[in-house]
Amino acid sequence: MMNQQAHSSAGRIFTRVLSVVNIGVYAILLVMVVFFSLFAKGFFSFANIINIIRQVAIVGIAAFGQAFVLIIGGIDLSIGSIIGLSGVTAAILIRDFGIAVPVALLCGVLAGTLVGLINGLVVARLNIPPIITTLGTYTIVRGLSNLIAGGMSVFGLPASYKILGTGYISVFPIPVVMMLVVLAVLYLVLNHMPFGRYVYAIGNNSKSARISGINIPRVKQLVFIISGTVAGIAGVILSSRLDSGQAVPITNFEMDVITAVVLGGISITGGKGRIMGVVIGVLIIGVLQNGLILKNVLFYSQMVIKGPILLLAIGLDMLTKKSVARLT
Amino acid sequence: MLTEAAVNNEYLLEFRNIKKAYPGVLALDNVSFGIRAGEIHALVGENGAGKSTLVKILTGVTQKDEGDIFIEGRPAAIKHAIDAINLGIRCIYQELPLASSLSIADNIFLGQELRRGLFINRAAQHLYVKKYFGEYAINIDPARLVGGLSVSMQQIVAIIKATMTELKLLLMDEPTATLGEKETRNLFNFMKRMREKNLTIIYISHRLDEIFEIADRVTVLQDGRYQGSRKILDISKNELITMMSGKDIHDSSLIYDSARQKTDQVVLEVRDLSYESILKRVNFVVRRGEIFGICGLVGAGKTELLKCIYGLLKCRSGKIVLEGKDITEHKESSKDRISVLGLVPEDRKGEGLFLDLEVLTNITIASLKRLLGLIFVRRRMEASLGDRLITELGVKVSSKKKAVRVLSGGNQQKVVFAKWVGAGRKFLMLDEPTRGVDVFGKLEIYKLINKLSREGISILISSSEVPEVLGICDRVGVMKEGCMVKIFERNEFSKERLLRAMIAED
Repeated sequence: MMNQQAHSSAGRIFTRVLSVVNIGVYAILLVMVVFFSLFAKGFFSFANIINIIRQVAIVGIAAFGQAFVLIIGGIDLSIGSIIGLSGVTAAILIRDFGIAVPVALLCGVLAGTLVGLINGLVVARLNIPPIITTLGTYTIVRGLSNLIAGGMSVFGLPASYKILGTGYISVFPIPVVMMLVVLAVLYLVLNHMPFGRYVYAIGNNSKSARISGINIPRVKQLVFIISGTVAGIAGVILSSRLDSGQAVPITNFEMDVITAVVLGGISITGGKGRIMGVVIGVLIIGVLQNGLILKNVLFYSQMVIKGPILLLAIGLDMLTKKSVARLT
Repeated sequence: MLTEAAVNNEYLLEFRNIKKAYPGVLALDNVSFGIRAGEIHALVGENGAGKSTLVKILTGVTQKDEGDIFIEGRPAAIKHAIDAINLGIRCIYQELPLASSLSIADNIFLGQELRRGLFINRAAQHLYVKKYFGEYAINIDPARLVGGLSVSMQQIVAIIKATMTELKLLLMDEPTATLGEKETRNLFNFMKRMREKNLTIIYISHRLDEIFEIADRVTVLQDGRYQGSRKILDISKNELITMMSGKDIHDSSLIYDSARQKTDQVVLEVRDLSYESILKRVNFVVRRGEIFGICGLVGAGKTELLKCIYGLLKCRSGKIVLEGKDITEHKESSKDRISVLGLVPEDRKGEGLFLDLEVLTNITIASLKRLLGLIFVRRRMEASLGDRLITELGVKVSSKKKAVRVLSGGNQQKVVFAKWVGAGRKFLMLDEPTRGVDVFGKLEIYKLINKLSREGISILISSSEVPEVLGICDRVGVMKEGCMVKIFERNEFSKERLLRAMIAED
């Protein structure tokens, strides 16, 4: 009796979760976890799970910001360069100008905010499509980071620089804590503040949004500032982990982030998707990477495997949506 | 041996006893008439008279319930769009099926290109089109892109394209609604030449001047019934308008609420408002608690007028005063404007709603500032506002968490109303508020408008349906070609007077 009740309420929660995120993505994550637990030694342990989350923390932080941009119907490619700029900025400020570490890290984050501000101005005021705008700033910022760093990695930083990227708060790595903080803040912004509603409204139908009295340029502006800022946060954490400022710390970072967001069920065409779904998207990328490394799969082979997984997840999602639509 | 209902060879196309019913409305009631070969036959009647249903049946978009269609004396079964095409029937809609980035010749030959080996034989195509143009005295390079052509020229290209396969009967549905004087002339000249080549045209229009210029005969539909066909030379404009208006039987007494409080206080004043070349020195006032109607044909400038007042379009000259404040130069999101005005747009799905978002979100999107706690939206307050509005406005929906997409047209419209009522707007502008709403839904919306009016909300309603404005409004301004030509008081209302102001020249 008790058991049955528990079962049905658990079932209800399960279906609610499924309705929030797409089923296909859940299935993929589940299959992957089961597969690697069975066949990859050391996968299913607390330490490794924390390890996975730490690995995806940086992609995750940027992904939660990117989700805003996609929901409003845009895209932000410049984040791939922002992570370089913010790290290099912080590192140079410490090494060459003797600025205190926390202040320098904050400046690194603000460098990302500044790029977001510029993206927003160009998109919202000049009406240039986001993909073009951020492709432009992507190139500019990358060049700028290299100029600032003098074409080399910025080494020779104090020991305290490493804390943000490699330290722990009790058993939790600081990057993971940072990710959870960013997630919590952005979740509240998107789901409980008027601004979040406006983001969905504009992404769903900008004409209706305009007639409803929403100040579209201002909302777009803020969305790009958010994306730039969280990319800045991701950038300084990454730089701290690498113990250096690098103009290009990860190649194709923006693609990993966009993949995670889309896997998480955020529609490329805007207006749809939940930030909690992005968590799943980010985890899929993390589990896949971790499992493949444990199975000693080469880096290039990993890339080849990631593509089909993405297509499969999205494809499954489309199929389930279609069959649900047919049922209702 | 043929019976009495023998084929009448005088007609290219004949309708016999056509009936078509939609839920709650008889769109066509026993309609019988014929179209002669080689004539331009005008089809007139006010909105909802059944013209577009007839077009839909003829083009296979919808099916008749009863009756027969004969083409060249033979019964014709039109079940799908392809049947109509095979029978040589084409319709030129306002949205033209042309690729604007391809050339005139490429458009005309699209799908049946002249080839030389693997490649398109452009030279031969151009030669063909040039020759064709020559016959119609058109002097345009066939290599020009369609996107750069005037609308009338694009229509001509679409017609020529239609003649590439067998074309017997061409339907034109309000082709001049968006055309200027010169362009209309251009199209008419082409139509007259087509007639000389024995093409039959059914021409649907509200513009009497045009009908008297171009048509050979005219058929009048009214409330789904056939009112008669006349030779254009045998009828005057006055007689035609009388035929179109039928009896003045509108059940306005049912809809009109005379008990409402009306005041003399002016809420909105529009002075000499002009916009591009679409609105010409429009003047009117709306008083507090009043339901003011704006009536006019498609293209008369009603929507533009509303959008100018709402700040979505920038007027060229003139003055807009709202609640005593001159808002002419204000931005669209200015406080003086958005604290008072709400717009229920004509294109409900495209401009009024967020189809994939919840009903609740749609309702409260303009009220979030009022629902704000310290920094977050108060969820419980939001939900109770939603519940209150859903009940008050009678939105039928099983859960306010449903996407607004699944609602019926009438209920979707109520959601748009609810948005503004919830936001406390005191002046609502309704653009074609019952378009795409079934009869029962319409009645509900009229009741709702009356209710809002009783609560002190002033209402400006723009409509191309004469019975609608006659039914519900205290006063009606008639627009024609961008001008507010006449304003009627309620005691002057009659369908014939309004129609005359809308479509006949003064």
